[in-house]
Amino acid sequence: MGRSKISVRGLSKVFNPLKGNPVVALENVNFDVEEGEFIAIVGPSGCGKSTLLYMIAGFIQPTKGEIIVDGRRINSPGPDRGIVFQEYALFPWLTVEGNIKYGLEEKGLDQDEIDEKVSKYIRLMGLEGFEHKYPKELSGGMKQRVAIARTLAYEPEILLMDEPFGALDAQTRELLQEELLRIWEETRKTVLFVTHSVDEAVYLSQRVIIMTCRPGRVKNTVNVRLDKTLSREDVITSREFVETRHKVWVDVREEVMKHYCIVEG
Amino acid sequence: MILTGELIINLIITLFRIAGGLFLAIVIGISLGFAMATKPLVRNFFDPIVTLTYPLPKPALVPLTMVWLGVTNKAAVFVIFLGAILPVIINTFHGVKSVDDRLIWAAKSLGTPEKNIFWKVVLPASTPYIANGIRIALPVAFIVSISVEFVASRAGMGNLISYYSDFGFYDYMFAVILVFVLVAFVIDRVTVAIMERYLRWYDGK
Ligand SMILES: Nc1ncnc2c1ncn2[C@@H]1O[C@H](COP(=O)(O)OP(=O)(O)OP(=O)(O)O)[C@@H](O)[C@H]1O
Ligand SMILES: [Mg+2]
Repeated sequence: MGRSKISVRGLSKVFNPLKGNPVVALENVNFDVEEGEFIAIVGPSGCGKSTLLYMIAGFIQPTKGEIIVDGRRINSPGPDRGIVFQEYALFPWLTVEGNIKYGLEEKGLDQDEIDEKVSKYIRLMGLEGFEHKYPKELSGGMKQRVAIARTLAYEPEILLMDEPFGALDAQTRELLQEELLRIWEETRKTVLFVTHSVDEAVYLSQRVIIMTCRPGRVKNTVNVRLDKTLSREDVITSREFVETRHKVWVDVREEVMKHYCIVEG
Repeated sequence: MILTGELIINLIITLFRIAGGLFLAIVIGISLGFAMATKPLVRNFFDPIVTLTYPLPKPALVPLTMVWLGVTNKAAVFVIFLGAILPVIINTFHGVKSVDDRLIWAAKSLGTPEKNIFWKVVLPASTPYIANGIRIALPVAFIVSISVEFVASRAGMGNLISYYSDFGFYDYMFAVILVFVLVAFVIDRVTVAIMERYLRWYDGK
């Protein structure tokens, strides 16, 4: 096996270490991601999933440990790692089109290329007719689609996606899952996909990382072997899907229950 | 008819002073607000000054300014500037402080280098706050201009008001006040309309 695309080693993050109430968000997290792999990350709320993505993106620094991407230790954001934020983080002063264009202009593409990509991703995300709307005029689901389009259009090698389908209705969610799989199969990007949905994690990924409740650690890793050439219907009724889903669900449930015990007692 | 000519000339004089004071207040106020929000050194130096001078009625500075700058246009513009700059500084400061980190991160991961983050993200994100500061500075500038001209000026609307009042021309005096109020009102409405046009995107919580 060659060098990993992403290597997370002994990663810990403590917020407010010197102030009154330090929060240990992550503790000794280790995992590797191969180039072109699609990884899903699931875990209870507050276990540090967003924090983990922010560190891989280079926005915040680990307290301990390191993250290696393409053999280099990262300590700042880079155009190789694109992120879709849980809270969208759209530029409110730019229209839908302006938001999607932003990264393309920063890249210095010429106008024709920009126009072509913008209209491609507007079509792909079902945003036709909303090109000239501002984020404040959009529903949560629409904003999320713009955020996904903005990141996909930039075409980073690594996609960090923080519950990107969380605000979508079930039907749109399924459509966009298909779309994401199609894009992934076409481009073979490396994807780290955080979700609360066990079904989504198993359906999309090749490997599910289950995290413990806070402080977040890797509880278990479950490999997924689904025949992706089958239709959605056939995949989700297949024995492999049902069994894998159950395995992940048992682990997640255990952690979520623990979480409740801590919160309530 | 003598009134109309006098009125127009003095109105223009006052408006020029207001424009000068406001212009300086906006340019310097925005720069200082940004610097205070991003550089602790600048903040530590200016914070006590801003905090102390904010509640001070600016016309109280008129006698001091007269000693320093005399009965000149410069003196009037300077006091208007002092009154108008504080709301601009304070609002710019809060605007910059309230920029969501994630917007800056998003821009960085979409290829914006650190040195451009200010123009690409921080400035546009804080324009609603800056606009609010200017909106507050506007009436301050009008009030201060009249107060200054009562004392430290031989022209302008304030000067005209006190002149007519001293000589008992109360109907003239009220006419001047009325015109001034109307002009101030129109300028305020136009400013608000322009701001609303450019801040359509803003989701004022
Ligand atoms: N800047 C911060 N300062 C202090 N504590 C923080 C900060 N950011 C996150 N935390 C804490 O770290 C923990 C992990 O937060 P994080 O947002 O990474 O969780 P998450 O797994 O993404 O949760 P969710 O599933 O609800 O999105 C939480 O307890 C959170 O309160
Ligand atoms: Mg999160």
